[in-house]
Amino acid sequence: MGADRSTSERVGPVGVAIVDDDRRYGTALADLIELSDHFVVVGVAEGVESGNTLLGNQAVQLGLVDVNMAGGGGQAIIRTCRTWSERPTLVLISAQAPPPDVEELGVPFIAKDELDTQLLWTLWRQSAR
Amino acid sequence: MRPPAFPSSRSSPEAVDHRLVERFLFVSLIFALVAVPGAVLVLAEIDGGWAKPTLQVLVVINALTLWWLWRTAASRSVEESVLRIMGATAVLTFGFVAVEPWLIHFTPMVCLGSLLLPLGLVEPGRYRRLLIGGLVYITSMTIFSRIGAIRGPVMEAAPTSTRDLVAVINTPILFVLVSWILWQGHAAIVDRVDGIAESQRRLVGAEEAGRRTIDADSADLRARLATARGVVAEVGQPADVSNRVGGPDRSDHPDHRLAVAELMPSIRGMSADLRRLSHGIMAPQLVGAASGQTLADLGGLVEWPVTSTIAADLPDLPEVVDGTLRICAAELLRGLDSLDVADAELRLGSDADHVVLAMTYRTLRGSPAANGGGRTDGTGTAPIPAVHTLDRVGALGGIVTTDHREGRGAIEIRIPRRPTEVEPHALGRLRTAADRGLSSALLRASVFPVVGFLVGLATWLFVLPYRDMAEVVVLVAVAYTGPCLAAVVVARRAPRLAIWLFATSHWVTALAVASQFTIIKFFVAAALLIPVVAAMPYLSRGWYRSLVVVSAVVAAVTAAMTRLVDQLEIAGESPQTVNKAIVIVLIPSACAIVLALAWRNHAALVVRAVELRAARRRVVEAIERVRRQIERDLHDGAQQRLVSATLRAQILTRLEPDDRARVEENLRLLDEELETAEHALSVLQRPGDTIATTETLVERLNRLKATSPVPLELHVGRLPDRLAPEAVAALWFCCSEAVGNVAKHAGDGARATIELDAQVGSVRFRVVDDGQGFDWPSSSGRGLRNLADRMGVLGGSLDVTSSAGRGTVVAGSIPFA
Repeated sequence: MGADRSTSERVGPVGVAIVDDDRRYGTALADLIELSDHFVVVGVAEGVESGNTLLGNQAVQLGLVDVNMAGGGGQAIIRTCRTWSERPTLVLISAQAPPPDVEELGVPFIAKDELDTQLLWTLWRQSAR
Repeated sequence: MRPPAFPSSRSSPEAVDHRLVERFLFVSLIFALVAVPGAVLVLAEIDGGWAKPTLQVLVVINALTLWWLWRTAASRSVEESVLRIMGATAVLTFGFVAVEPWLIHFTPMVCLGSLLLPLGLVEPGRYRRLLIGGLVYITSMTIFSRIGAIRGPVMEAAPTSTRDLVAVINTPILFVLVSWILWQGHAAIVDRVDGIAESQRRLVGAEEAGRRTIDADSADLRARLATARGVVAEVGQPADVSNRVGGPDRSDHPDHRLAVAELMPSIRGMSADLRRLSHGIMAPQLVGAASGQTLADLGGLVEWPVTSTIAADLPDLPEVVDGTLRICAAELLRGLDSLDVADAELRLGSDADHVVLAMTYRTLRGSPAANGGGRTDGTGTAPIPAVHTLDRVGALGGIVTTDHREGRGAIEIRIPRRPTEVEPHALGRLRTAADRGLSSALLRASVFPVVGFLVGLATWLFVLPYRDMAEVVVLVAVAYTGPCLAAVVVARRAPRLAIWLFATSHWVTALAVASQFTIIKFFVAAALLIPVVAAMPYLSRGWYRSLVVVSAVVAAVTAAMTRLVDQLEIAGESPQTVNKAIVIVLIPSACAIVLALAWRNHAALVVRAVELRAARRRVVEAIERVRRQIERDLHDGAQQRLVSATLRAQILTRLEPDDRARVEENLRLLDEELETAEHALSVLQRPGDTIATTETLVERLNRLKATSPVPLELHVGRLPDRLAPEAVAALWFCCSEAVGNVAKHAGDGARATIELDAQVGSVRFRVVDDGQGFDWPSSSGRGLRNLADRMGVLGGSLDVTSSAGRGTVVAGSIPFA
């Protein structure tokens, strides 16, 4: 069983990675997050494979992962991350309803149109506890 | 409070079948009970030796057997009941004929009745075996009865008047019984075929209504997006500084944050509405790969609590089953929303063959006016608002069971885990039998007069003392054959005229023959049955009833004529061998014709039902594909852009007005997102949606001609002023799709022509090309099938003629009132 990177002591803003195949949404989300003092965007990936690579970056503490993507979507990424000894905190995001297996995956879900940095910060602090 | 919009037991074909069997047994029982005192009275006057009490016992056993079958029919399957009836009929008729061979004039009619009863109710292969077995049995019984005396011990002793009385009473009764069975069989054909067609129409109608809602919602969202873009444009404008010397500077721009903050709820509202629209098109997913899931999200569709569970061992399901379950669950919850529901529970599980979605609910106070329970496969004719649940489930071979009671209710949907449907092309022999047209059926049915002609000819040639009688037989046979052959000729063009011509020749001939001979009681009755059986698939209920009634009246008159008219007494005057030969040849041949026609009707019924079911299944699958495509388009298009717009708006609310470059950049990006969302919604609206009149159809076809990638000629004749909007849309759909096919598949240099014209009662079109053609109908293309289904739903037709290297003709017609 691996540990969340959120549990390790860190100083400064939280490193965030965004994985979404919609480039415009990913860019907009990155722009919004950059406005917050709490977060810094480490990178934006547009697919499952590049998302796994990005999330493997030690600087990433929080991953925002889209549900609907080719190659298994956010669920595939979550299952891959589970095998890592150290992994970022992951949050599923979607413009649609939560997927039916969200409870089984054991990760939080946020509707895309409800996403804001305050909500993310609250969620991050909860997971860090 | 309104009752739930779910079906009653009326709409279950299974229940209809049970009722048919029960009715048959009840009517037969009534006849048998009438026959008991009649038989006792007749037999009381006759000295039949040992046979007399035996016959009396048989009459009583017959009545008791029918009573027992009737009482126990409800607890058995339809097929089991039918087989028991046939078994009892075989044993009893053999018993009667063994004791009294003269009864061979009636027992084949009883056997025909029991053989016609399962028409459409049992599996085709079994029905075919039953018919063949029945014919062999009738033939054996006939030969057996002719081995000994013609009349038998009882009738030998009875006076002629008594025999005639028995014939006069029994012949019309048996004819009416068999006709009634045919009448019920006709109802089964009409109800089942019409029921499935109606189910298909309901599905398409509901989908059309759903599409109109989508279009209306899209139009509404587009209007709101346009308003939002107006606000964004206004925010981006500098303040009015026309009177300031030196022009605007950075401080001339108003604070955008307030305006954008006010815009935020609107954008979020649009996003939420779009998600609801998306869920309306395709309900949230129920089934995933993992276990322990819940259906909690469905609970969001209604205000009251819904608990739900999914079985851990639920298998992966085909897309069409998964989609149907999602749509059904959402529709059932919405359907219950009209009641004062306290709570509901959903359970999704499976057994070896089916996936089962069960819903139970409780109401707050009392109960809706419960409409009882029932089962349906979607072929019912009762008004059913829960279209998707009933018709989609039915289309997949599933069953919906409902049980609404005081204060609570339950609904269960069972769908085969892997729905399979016999495709029409896989029906083999059944298809061949069904494909034989009316003219072929009438030609085969005309064998009977030909046999009569040959028998008469043989009698004339070999039994010279009875030459006069043989001449009459030959004359009647010729007179009978003529109109029958005329009916065969006109059958293709005017089937109803052919049937009446054919039937009339049978009626006239029956009356003519009955006025001359007494021995032909059964043959006359059997001959009168032939047009009644042959006409089954071709007449409406009203016309068929007329045919059955007239035939029954003629049968009664011909039976009565045996007492009213002085006749030739063949049995008394001709040699026994001739009489035996006539009976042995004519009874099985008449039965063979009736049963062959019955087999053809059975095949036609099964094939038609399979074709319609396959078409309905394709309609469901096509709807499924379209819905999923729309859902995907919404998700990947407008919905994504709106959530991005929400982010851009959030960014803007946090940017200082002084940070002009970033504000302007984000305003531009926000406007771009809103514009793209609006465009995505405009693409979603159907191009054919505005085509509702023939004028707009012609206008659109002219536009197609101008923009077509292949050279296109257009010939439009006179069209009706008024045509149903869905018919206009279907014509446009077919023509544009056919031209699209030419562009895609006909090859380089292909040219196309559209011909559109109205003829008597229908609008016809032809799309002809001179391209490379294809191997039709072996091509498995889905597009042309969709076109055919679309026309079929509206009562129209579509024909494709094509072969490699010879171009393609897609021709169709659609009726109009």
